[in-house]
Amino acid sequence: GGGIKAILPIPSTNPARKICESDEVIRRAQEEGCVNVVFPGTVTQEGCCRFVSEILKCILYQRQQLPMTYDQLVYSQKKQQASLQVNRKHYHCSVDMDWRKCQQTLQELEEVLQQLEVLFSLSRVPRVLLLMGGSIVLPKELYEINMEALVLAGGDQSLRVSSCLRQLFRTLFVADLLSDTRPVRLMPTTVLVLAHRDCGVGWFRPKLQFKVPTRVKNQIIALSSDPSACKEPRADRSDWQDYVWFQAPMTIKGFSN
Amino acid sequence: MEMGNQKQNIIVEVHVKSHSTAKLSEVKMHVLALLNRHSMVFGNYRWTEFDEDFLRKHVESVAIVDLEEMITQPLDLKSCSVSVHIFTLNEDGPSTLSLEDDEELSAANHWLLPAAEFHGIWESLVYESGVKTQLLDYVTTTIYFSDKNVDSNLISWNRVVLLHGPPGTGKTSLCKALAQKLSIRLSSRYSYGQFVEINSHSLFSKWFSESGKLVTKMFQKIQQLIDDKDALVFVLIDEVESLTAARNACQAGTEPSDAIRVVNSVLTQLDQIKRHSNVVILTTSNVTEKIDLAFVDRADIKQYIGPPSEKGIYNIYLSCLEELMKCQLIYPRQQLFTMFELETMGFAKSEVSEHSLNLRNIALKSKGLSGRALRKLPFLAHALFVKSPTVTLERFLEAMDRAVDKQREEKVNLVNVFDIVMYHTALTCQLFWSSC
Repeated sequence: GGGIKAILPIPSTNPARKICESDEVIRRAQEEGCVNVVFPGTVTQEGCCRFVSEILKCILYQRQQLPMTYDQLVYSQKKQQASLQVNRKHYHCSVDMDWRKCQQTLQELEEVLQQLEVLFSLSRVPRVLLLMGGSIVLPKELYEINMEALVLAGGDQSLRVSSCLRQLFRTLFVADLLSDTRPVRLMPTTVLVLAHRDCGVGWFRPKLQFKVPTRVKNQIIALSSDPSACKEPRADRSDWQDYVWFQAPMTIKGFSN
Repeated sequence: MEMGNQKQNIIVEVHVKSHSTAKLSEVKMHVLALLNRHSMVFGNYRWTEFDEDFLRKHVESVAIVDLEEMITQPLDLKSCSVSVHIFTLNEDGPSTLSLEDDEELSAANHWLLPAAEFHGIWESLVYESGVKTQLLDYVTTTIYFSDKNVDSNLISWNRVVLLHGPPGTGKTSLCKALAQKLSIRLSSRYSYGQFVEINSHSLFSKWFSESGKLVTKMFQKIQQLIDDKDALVFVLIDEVESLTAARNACQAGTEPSDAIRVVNSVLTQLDQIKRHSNVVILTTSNVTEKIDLAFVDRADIKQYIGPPSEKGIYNIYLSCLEELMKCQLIYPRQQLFTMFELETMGFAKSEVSEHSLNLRNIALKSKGLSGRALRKLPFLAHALFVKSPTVTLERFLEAMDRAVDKQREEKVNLVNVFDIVMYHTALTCQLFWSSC
């Protein structure tokens, strides 16, 4: 995954204009809890899935549910596993315990990511919710990835996923939507997705009665395609009529070192 | 309208499979068609197997529920008014409402209704005829009243329920079942139900004078749930006497004054939240005398839940034995009559009624055991006296008979032990006082 690498500042041709834009992004993020990312063209369905995966990994790390970024964790876990196999008895019980907690979180996250891929191959997904802590009717934190205004097309006519990710994360970090200096407690993260009623997904459970919680601040990351850059029409509100909420049957529990 | 002409109201509960995404309107259409095909019913009935694909794919069960007693004549659904309630179960376990952000203090458990965990409790509880339906009707009426904004100064009613009676009679379970049932019945009005179980002991802080604050914080959380007018919120305070006893003890001067603040705070907060039309407060108590009068007065619906009657015991045993036969721990399956059928036969002895009559004798002998003890009895019978993977019904009934004897014996012993302990405590106290 290249999501986190995108934090690096990107040289801009017109610094003055850039600063103005950033100010606006920060203001909207702070006042409305909303970050708009407008891509200059169409994207692919697989691209959408990557956006969601990378945002999920990023939020888990930024909201202190993972001690390192996902990619760092996978790397260190592999390294540790190799050394564990060599001299297992030298490790203390507590190290083993930490290792297993980390392993469990990674497995949970891995499973959710895989199932998201399956889902995206079955249905268009206009909205994704990440609910942290509390219950699904009253979570502690709520993040929405809104992709209703993305225009989809085939791979040859679409923007490259990597350049979209770079733009996405640059905007996210400028907006400073996710950082909080206060320490955050570990809490379970639940993923909900809006998908077509008849898409036939098996792993996610339909939640026909679910309504997006309104009494908690909803932080929205809205992805869209610049309409002037796309030939294809944008989806209409009526297109989402037969879309219902599905909930991942497991939560991601997170851990700290 | 004349009562005689009034159509009988039939309630149908449709349990939709958790993976189904079918539209409610479609489910309803198929269920009505099913009822149309099988319109003659003989009392409560549950379909779990269906003669058409849609229902097989999307529906777990269709049940005609809560018809009073056995009806002697078959009912024609076409001449009844049928209300269909469609629900899916929430399979997530309870979440906790924590008060402090930095502390792992959970003051309440919190379920989304209808919850998979509460499924089947209603059916498993056996009381005198009418107790369950009456409670259900009571609470339904209060919700109708509040929903229509009936002025409670003119017609006095509230939504506080108090269930009292000896331990082990299923009061807490009944509260859960009642909430589950109501959330299903009222699903057209409220899109979901919430069940909050308060741990009263967690309200007493280890820090002096902090307890009142904890209570306020907890009720703020509950208030957040209530603010969603689409949710029907049930708040359960189990063993409410533990809260209110504190106040009495305080008045007697044996409890620090912090406790009285908790109780007063709880009472005021309850008064606050019960103003909202979408809240039902459920409380239970093992003793009625000990409860604070201030609290008893607040509850409108008070129901005594006693130990099961002979008939109740018989029904409990019957459901246990049916389960064991279903799981083939008792094999081969044999017919057992319901109490109603036995009564109609005038308890006549015959080859077919022999086992049922034996079971009735065991039930008669079991009087005085609590509901909790009764449900444990088949397990004890197997563990103590059967000890083999399968057993005939006849032998199992013998084992149950012996297990009941043992239980009664133990109960007597326990009472004796208790007496001895009390006696010694009294003696020690006397010694203490005389040495002072």
